[in-house]
Amino acid sequence: MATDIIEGVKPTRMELLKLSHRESLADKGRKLLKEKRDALIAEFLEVVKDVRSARKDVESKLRTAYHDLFIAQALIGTRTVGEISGACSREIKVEFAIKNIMGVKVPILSMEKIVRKLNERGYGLVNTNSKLDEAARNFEEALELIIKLAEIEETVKKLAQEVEKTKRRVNALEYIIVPRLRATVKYIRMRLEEMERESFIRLKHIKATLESRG
Amino acid sequence: MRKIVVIGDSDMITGFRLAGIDGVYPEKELTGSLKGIMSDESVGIVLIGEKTAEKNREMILEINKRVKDGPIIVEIPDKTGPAVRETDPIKELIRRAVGVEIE
Repeated sequence: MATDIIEGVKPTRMELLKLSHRESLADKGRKLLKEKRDALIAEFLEVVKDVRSARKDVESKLRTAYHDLFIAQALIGTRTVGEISGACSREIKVEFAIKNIMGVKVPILSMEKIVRKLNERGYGLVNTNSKLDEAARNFEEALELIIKLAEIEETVKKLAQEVEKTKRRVNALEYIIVPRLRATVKYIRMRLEEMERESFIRLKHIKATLESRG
Repeated sequence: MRKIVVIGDSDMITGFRLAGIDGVYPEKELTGSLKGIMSDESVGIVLIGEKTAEKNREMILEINKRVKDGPIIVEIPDKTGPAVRETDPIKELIRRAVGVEIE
């Protein structure tokens, strides 16, 4: 692939200096970004390992939770369970902290204990049964797992975006910007040499004419 | 400190209310509520049923793009179990980031 040169540059020594300075800068930037990209990918692959297992945990925990819920609903009625669930509310707050992985801000989530004791749930034990308790406990445990999953998934997403961005930059530098600068520098250098040769020949010519006259 | 809200069918809502979440929204009202939820800064995590999310994929993506630092959306299976998807979103992420498929 022939690389085009930057248009409109004058073949002068000043321009040559400026361009070769820019070229070495771009090349340095390319190397740095490449390192950043590799480090990010390594980090990304590390986190990705956890995503699947975290999701599997959530899925299997929720499956048991729904199962218990259905049995509870079958035993004491869907409406009753719905009403009871209304009494269980409390403040669940998640603390968001930010961790920095190579300039990517990823969340760290932490929460208070979500699994409650039986007598902390806020419903009476008279009209309820143990399946309902189990369902509630399983949903609480599932919620803890889900919060963990949320953290990991968000980290993976953020890292993936950053990897993509860095990759695009590296490629732009590597395949477009640096080659174009390099080609332009070469072009100017060749033009300058050509001009030097021209003036050399011209001088020789003038000298010869002057000598033949004199 | 930010709170958790749930969007889903009635069983999902009952279940997570049992776990103690009080911010629950039935999936039928999604169109009206999602925008408000996403721009509410006190909301940290949105749990949404996979099927509900699938039905409203475009709207979610669109809102997600517009709201910076919005809540984290987690898609969780509903009572019928994990949804079978054509493309595994995680796999897609890996493919785009690394360029190769990794199991």
